[in-house]
Amino acid sequence: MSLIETKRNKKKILLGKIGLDGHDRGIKIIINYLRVSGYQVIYTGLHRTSKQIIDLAIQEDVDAIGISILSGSQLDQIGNLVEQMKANNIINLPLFVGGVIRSEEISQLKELGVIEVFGYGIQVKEIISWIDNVLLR
Amino acid sequence: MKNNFNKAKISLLFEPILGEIPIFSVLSRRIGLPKDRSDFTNIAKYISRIEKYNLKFDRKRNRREGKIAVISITGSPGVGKSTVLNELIKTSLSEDKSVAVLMLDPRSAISGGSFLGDRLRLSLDFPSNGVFIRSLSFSQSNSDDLAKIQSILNLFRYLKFDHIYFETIGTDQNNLNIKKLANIVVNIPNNLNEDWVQILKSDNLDLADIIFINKTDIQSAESAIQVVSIKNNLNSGMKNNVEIIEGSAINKVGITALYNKINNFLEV
Repeated sequence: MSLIETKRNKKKILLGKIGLDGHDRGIKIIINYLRVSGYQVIYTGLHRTSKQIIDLAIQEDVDAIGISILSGSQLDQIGNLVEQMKANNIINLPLFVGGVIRSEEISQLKELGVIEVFGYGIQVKEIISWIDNVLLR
Repeated sequence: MKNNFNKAKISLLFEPILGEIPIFSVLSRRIGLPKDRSDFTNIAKYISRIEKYNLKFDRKRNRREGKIAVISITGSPGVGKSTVLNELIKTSLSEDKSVAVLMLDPRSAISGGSFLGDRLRLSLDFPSNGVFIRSLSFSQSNSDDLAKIQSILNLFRYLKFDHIYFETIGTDQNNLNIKKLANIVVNIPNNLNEDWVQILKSDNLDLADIIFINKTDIQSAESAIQVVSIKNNLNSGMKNNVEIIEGSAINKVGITALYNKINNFLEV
């Protein structure tokens, strides 16, 4: 049996959770879907700081960063993360955020530098096809 | 920073198109080569090129470089390789050594995707410039992967990291290749499995230099030590007896003994 090689195999996506937030069921679903569709996925684990996530992103040389937030502290945490990304010159990495996010906060997050925000009720297929569009165009 | 970006752009041209032609491949290997081990951004980018374009790296600064040891940690899935590794890294750092780590995770044969989850077990509290950790997806059916591992380990040697750790995927097959890549092989057998047939069947113990029996807090190491000793006796005359160390990585028991044993090997 020959190993299938697709363009997705060469792309690495970092998924992370920041701060005091233990709800990781959603991110586990995303990890598995991304793996099954052929991406390389790295997960930071729970309760990370933005500095730790950025260190990891640099060492693994990832192609995109996805953050899941269900604690309600998205504006502060993503603000910190974007600051760290600027300080480390990786601000051009696509950053996407998912979780429980109020509709009025979506535009605020996008102003900070987040490319796309996935709220509740989103289909996993939509997330995968968005990632395909961004990374494989 | 702008300079780096241009270099990366040039290298992107080189690998897929010109990398096949010998003179260009020599050139492309030099482009973007990190100058020292604290330059994490460029090390990471260089490893990505090894990963994506099968760039071969075998440059050596001098002969002494070959003496920098690669310490490989092997064992079945779930025996605690990453947890032991975490403690070993901490010990190395406490002695002011610079550390590089390569961790393998399996690649799906169906989709080609992978979940590089080994990092979850590692503490992220390491100083951000002290230890370089990289995960790599690995498939046994792909012959390129071993060459990639060799190139990455060579790069770590070239950059003169003091300790290079290398964690394999949990497997019993293809160990011979792993043995070729590492100088010291630490094997962690599964002591929760009391089936001596499985332990005697596996190649792991033959290839190991040091055996660490983990999780003694859950299950006593006695039965595992018995089996390993039997195997040692069976092997006697064919090779030197392996050292057996018992402990529990999660409770930080036995780690110092393991670390000292590894260092003894390094000095010989």
